[in-house]
Amino acid sequence: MTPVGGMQACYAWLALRRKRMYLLCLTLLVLCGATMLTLQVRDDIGIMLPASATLQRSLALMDMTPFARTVFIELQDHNAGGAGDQLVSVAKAVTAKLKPPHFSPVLPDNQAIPSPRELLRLLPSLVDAADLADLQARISPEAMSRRMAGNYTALLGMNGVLSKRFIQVDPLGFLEVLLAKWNRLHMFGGARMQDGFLLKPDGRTLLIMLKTDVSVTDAGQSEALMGEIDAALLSLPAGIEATVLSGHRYALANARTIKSDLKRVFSASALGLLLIFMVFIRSRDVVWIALLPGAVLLIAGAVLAWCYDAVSGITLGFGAVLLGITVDFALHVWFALRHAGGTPGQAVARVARPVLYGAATSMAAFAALLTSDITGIRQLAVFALVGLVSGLLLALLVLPHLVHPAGVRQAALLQVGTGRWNLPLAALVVVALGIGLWAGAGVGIDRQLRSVGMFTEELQQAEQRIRHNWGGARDSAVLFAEGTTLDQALERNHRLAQVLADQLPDSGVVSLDSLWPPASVQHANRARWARFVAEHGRDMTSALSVVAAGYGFSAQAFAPFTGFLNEPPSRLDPEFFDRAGVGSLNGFLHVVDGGKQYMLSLLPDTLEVRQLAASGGLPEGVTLVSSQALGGLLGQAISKDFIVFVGVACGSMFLLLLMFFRRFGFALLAMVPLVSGIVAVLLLMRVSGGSFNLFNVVALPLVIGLGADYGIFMVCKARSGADLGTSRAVLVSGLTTVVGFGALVLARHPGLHTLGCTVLVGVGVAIPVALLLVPALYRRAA
Amino acid sequence: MKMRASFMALLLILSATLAGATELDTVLQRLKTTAGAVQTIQSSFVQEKHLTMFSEVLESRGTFSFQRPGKLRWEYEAPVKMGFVIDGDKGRRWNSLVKQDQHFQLEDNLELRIAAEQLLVWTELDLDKLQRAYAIEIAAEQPVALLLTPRGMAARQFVDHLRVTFSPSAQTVTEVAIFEAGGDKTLLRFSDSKVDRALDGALFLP
Repeated sequence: MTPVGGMQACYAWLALRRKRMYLLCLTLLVLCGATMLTLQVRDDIGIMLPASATLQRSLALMDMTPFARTVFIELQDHNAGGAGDQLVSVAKAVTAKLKPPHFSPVLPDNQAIPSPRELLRLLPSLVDAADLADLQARISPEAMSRRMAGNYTALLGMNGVLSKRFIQVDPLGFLEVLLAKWNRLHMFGGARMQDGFLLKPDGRTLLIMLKTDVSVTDAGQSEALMGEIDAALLSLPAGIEATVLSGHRYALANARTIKSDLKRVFSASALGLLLIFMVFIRSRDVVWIALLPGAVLLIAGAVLAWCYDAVSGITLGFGAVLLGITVDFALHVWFALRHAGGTPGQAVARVARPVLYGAATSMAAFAALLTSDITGIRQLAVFALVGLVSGLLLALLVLPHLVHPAGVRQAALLQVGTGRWNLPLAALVVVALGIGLWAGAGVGIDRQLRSVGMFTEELQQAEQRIRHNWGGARDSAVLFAEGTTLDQALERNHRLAQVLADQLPDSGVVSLDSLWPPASVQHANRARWARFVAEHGRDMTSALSVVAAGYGFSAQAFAPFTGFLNEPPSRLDPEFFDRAGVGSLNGFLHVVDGGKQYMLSLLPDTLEVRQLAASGGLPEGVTLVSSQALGGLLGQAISKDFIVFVGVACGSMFLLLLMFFRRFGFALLAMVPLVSGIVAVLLLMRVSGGSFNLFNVVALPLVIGLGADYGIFMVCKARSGADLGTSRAVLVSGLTTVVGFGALVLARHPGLHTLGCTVLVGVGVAIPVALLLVPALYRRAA
Repeated sequence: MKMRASFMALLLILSATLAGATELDTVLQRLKTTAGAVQTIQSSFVQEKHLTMFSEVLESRGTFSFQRPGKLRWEYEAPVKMGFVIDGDKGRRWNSLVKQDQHFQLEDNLELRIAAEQLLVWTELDLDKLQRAYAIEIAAEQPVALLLTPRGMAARQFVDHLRVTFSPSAQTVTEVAIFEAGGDKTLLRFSDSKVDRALDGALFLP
């Protein structure tokens, strides 16, 4: 039995069992609907990120950076005479409303002032050779005399109360050597810490930093989080303005824009589709045609629920729109039933072949998505493939029994004989497409997630403001020196500091290395210190007491300092820094996670830094994490996906067409609409300065699959010469796609907008090419 | 009976507390309307520092000048000529012993900013700031003397309490005693205070 005969027999067999078939379909759809209800939908864009081990590790490390999952709230006092303590009170009132589990303060609410005595105990382990030269200069008779005069006047003056503790412990200013090292950890634009907040020197601008357990990729939770913050900031005193910045605001802005876009786009699509159906179909059958994508959605959704624990909301939303293309199968079957003549069985059997071919090419195009590293895109591929298969089966087996065929009339005749190729036109087309491909070949790939996200003016201003007031630490690249022990991490961090000093001397790195070197370096420093004390200690103390007595200091005035000189120096540990009151500063750059120790170094996210990392110039165990580097990894994933999608889709498309038509010429002819669609997309991007991104790259299989479909239908028509309503079916199904997807150009969200543009232009060009150019290239002899 | 006695005792305590609060408010408001309304002050001062780090008491003297809004001059004349002048956000400091003469922006100089803030709080009598920073009690009524205990933990690491005494007219401060956490103390006695007289503008030039 031939395939045509088989379809005819199948139609006849089902025609006798229609009621049972309807019941079976209904039961299946109800069951699928029930299964789909169990689908766990994640409102999390993380699922749309590549699952490569490198990228996932970078993301995990990114989560450990000092400012990851951090909400920044800047308070600015515009009142005349505003002072820091008032802002601090307001900040305390705000943070009192932002409590765990969602929020925890980044800076400790620690009012203790660094202990000079404990700070001095850090010195022996931290003095390097250059520091020691500095200390030596401080113990010359002239320097000691100058210093003592300063001590005397400081104690005599207004702020003697504050200076006294430091002068007692450190009369010669040795601690200045250490403080200079801490000052190099200048992360917050010269702000001081007060009560767990950062306060600008003018006392008019304050920064609250709160860690949160909510992922920035989780739009649903972000909404709740921002709601809490808005509520906490509702009753700010007059004249105090708040600026909020966090990744959650981006997620929320994106989610809100997509929601409002979808309303607009769905309305426009629905209106457009209604208009198309009213103009071209004008039959109650439109109900069944329109219901087909809905039924397909239930089946594909049920399969997703069965295959995956959780599915991305983006996959589901985009997939649902994508399955709109299954309406094309229904349209081809319906037009065949109305126009092909003969019995309904004959009409279905004759349209089955191009519909099957079309479905196969669309499936091949979407199957290419299965190669993606991105879980969300693979889910989308499964969703689309299941949808296409179920749509095909419903369109060929069930729909013909539901719609009203035209009255039985003579079947359209198949014309015998060969056609004629329009070779000059073919040559022209090949040249035109070649030029188009060449011209569009330079279209780039956008590696930044940000450029396809919603980045409102308000967010841009907030970001600029926070960067201006508090420095660019938030945007820094972070180098992670990892160790199974603290000392291994410190050792690697030390080697990193040496590499950076050597390779990028002006990199502006913020590193703890000079304040927390590894055990070997500490040991060498202590030995150096011991030699210094052995050599100068006795002379230093006696000279000190003579100079001090000259200014009226008592014999015991500097007992803490002389006592320190006689102490055996000890090795540093984290508690040592805590006792000195500077542990919270170090806490920014030292992270313990999963039993591993990480020392972090911050530096500007420059090309040189990324090149150093890419060339393998970083020491073993050191990893670079930065938004630019992450963008690079993402770009690589998109580039790979893009090449694989286009390559696999076009290659498999051509093989399928060759298999269907068994003639090289016809396979090429059927490829013309799809290649024209791709060329149109490339040229559009070239002209508009656009590029491929995470969103529009997903639309490519659609353009390729649909372009091939239109080519197949038109080549089948040209070859058989029989009119199955093909042109009209191609036109209507093309228009439904253009209206359904092209309406996305109305979206404000940049990602959706580029997706809409890609489909609108790609499919929009493929339709006239299929309808006009394909028949012109191959025409049957009269 | 026992319950009634307890209730009466509670009432007495409450009324005493309320009366104390009301009295403090009245005193502070009176200070605000008198000292807080002063436009210019010029006083001589004598400072005594009783510090364990020194064998003897450190005594110094100088002049203090103030003009609303935000102009200050704090000048030691002996034993060392040193001091600072502040006009708004700019200032100058000098110290003859270490041969220092330096112009500065107030926001860049934490040490002098703290000093200036303290002086301005007292001369402008900013009650809100004072009450946020200190727990205030009345130590004497005529002339008014206030006892202030720092509220912040950080401040308590340095200062145990302060006693501030006002002139009988309550227009100016006559004495400040700072009792430090470790037992040291500083006494500042102001005399020859001239209130609301025109001051030479050159005094406040940074």
